[in-house]
Amino acid sequence: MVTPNLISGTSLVFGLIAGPLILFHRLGLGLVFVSISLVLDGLDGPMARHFSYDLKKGETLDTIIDRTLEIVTFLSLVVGGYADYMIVVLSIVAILLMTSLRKKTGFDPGFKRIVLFFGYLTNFYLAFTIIFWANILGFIVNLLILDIRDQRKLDSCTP
Amino acid sequence: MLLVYNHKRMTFVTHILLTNLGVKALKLQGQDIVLAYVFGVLIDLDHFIKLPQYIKKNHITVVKHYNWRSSLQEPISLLWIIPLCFYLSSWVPAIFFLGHLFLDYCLSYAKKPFFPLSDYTTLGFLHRIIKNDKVTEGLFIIVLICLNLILV
Repeated sequence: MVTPNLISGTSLVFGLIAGPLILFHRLGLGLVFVSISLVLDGLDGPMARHFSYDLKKGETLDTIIDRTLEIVTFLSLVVGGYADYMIVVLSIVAILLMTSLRKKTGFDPGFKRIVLFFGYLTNFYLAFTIIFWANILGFIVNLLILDIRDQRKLDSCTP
Repeated sequence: MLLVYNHKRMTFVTHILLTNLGVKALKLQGQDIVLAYVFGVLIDLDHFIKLPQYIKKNHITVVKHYNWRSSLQEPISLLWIIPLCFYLSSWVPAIFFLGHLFLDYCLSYAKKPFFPLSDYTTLGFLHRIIKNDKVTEGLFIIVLICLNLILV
């Protein structure tokens, strides 16, 4: 029986296969596997909601899988010589920062593996710059959302 | 801990004096000067983020000592400023942000340095030594003006 976890697991497998393909300079084929992984990643959530599976556990698993695949794919691009290590490391840091607050606010700007296709067409430095800025700004927006919520609580307590 | 909001804030003047001093002392040029003023002074513009909230609660009444401060002015923001420094290949944002923080933390109003990761609240470094924030700021202004004049 096909379950959301099975779809997530399959997405993980396709994403992990992309890593070595990119490493061994089969960039186009690697990105095909990334795209299959992304499509599957987009299916597990709606399926879980439709069949009323435990969404909280599923979201945590989904986040772990997504972050793992991003790190594997991004580092493969560095080792394969397609991207500069500094901007990739900064992008990973930005994504992890944004993720740390995403659960509290529900806000996620996206702009992660999907931007790699833009990088394939233009250049990966630009793609990772976009990923870095989108996720750093996402972290800042999440900070401000939480500040505003905290202020609302304070305002409701004070005369 | 009861949050106390009826104390003075560090004004723009003090932040501008410290930033100007830093720019001269470090002999900054070009983009670094802009970054110094953004992170040393203009970071205070985060106050406008709470403007809709303020208007909703207080309408257009002037209410002193509203909590305008956001996480953009707290140590938690070093989590994004440090990666930004690596991206820009310049430590100016972090240095001048720390300078801004230092001045704010010399005054005794309530601050949450690690929000939203923690609700820990502090009244800053000097609240047990100097009770009057106007005295603290006055001293800083005098010292900073003298140092700025020395470095002209």
